[in-house]
Amino acid sequence: MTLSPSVKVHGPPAAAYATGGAAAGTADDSDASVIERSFDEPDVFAELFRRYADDIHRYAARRLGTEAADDLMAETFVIAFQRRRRYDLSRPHARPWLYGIVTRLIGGHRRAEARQLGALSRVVSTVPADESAGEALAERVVARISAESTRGALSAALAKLPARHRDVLLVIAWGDLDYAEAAEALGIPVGTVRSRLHRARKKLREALGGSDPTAFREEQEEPRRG
Amino acid sequence: MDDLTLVRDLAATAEPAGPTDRARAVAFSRLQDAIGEEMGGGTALARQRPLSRRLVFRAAIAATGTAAVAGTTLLAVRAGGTRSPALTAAEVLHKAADRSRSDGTGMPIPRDDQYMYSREITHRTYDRDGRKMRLVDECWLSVDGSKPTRYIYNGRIQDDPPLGKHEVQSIPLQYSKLKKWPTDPDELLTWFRGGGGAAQDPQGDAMAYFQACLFLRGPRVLPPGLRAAAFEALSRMPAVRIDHDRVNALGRHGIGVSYPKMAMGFLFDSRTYAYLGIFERGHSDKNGGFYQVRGVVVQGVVDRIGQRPASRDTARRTPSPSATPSPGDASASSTSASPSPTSVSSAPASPTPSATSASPSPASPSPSASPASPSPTAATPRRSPPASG
Repeated sequence: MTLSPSVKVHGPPAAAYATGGAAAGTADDSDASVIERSFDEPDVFAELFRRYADDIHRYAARRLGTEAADDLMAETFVIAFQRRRRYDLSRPHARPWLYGIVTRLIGGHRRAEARQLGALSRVVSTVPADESAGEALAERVVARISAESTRGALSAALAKLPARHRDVLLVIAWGDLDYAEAAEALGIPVGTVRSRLHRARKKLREALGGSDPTAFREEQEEPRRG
Repeated sequence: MDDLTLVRDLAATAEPAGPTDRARAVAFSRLQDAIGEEMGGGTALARQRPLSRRLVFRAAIAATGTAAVAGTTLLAVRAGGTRSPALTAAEVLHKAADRSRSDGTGMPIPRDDQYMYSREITHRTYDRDGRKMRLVDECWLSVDGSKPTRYIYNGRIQDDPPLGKHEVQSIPLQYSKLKKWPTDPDELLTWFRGGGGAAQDPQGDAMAYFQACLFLRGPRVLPPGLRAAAFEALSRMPAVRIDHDRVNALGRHGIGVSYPKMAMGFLFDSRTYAYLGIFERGHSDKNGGFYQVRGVVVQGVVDRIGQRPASRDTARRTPSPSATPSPGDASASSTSASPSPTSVSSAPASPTPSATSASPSPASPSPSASPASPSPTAATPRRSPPASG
């Protein structure tokens, strides 16, 4: 007597978002045309979630930690959906737009961001602990301490940056946007992106400058350049 | 190499693993709620609890073959400030049966070597933290049961071999067997009651009600007339009642029909009496009690496992239900839930895959039109590629 199909218990929610029927037939469309279609067929907007939710989450998690990122990911797409009619359809890629939304949301979480930067500065080095023998171990320990102090200084410097500078820097460094995309995301001219980025980086270098932690890396790079 | 790289590395040392499935599901469900809000009638509904509107909406489409049903109803209910007319549970079930009969005319008649495909969507809310989940289940049932059955439970694949020689299902899943079931409500009720005897015994009715729940619950695809018969069989049970409270508690807009002390009930559209799905209480070991509503959104006939009834590319340029909220416009509104090129009217003679869907094509007949009138898309039967993944 088999009754199982009708009394089954659900397994883990492996890919609820991916198997939803809503996104069917949109796989090859540009973001802009998906958004345009969603004007009349709101359901279609789910496709953008499928495309970018993980990206947005990763970026938000870097800036605020995973827990806040869960929420921001959701909020970003709800806001994006509600504002979709204001999307500039001449822009095929929606990624910068979404980054802009999540970046503005992050702006409302300055304290959480400061905490996150604090946490990043304390992250234990990922240098593998095994194969730790004699000389190599000592070297590793030194390298780790050096790396950790760099992280500390860097995090502190990031935390001290004006928010608008930090946004530019991180949307590029952690969000992987280029200058033009960053400009689009943040709603500022590309020239402003360049100048803010320049200033942000200058401050970081100053903050790190004392012990010049970049020197170690530059030495590594030398041979390749030469 | 430079400070920018250092900044990148800073994040990389504590690289987040990406969202968990659960976080993703929750976020997706929030987006779905926002979408559902708009589809369900826009700002008038914005303040209501959004959990199920989308499901109700989509299921309504699936069940009725008309668009904009749920949205329209909700608007009307909201604007008028009144609830659905005070009908008895039996009356609601009768209306639902009529509705089901008039909707069921277009289902294709499958061959024994084909599969009945169905897709169900479940919206679940956990008691403990109010967390919401949306589950999508698909299944391919061999029409005559001679071939394996595939279930995809929210992404997890499960293949079941055909039943063995001595195995019997209490309620068959095979369409070929269900075809032989009685479409007479009394006969069906007798079966639900376990073959007769205790006609008005309350205890017997509770069991019969439970049988009916199992019977109507997916993924079983019912031949024409059988669902209507089941509703009428239910209407003959004296204890069956309207379940307003439960519906309100869920924020769902439909008429609930349930049975005292039973954890399952049926949900109907409060204006059209279209069947929307089953609501039920459940329990999972990990997350505790939950409430859910599940409804079939797509049903159709396909030739092989993995194939899905037609995709929905014809639905592109049609106006959204929220843009045409008047009931009279139902034929013009599309449902983004509707997968449809080969739709109902082309079904019996359509080329393989002969797919129909419970949802209407954007051009499908309006409720007022004759169910048999061919839709423009169906006039030129098209071969629909099997939707992938």
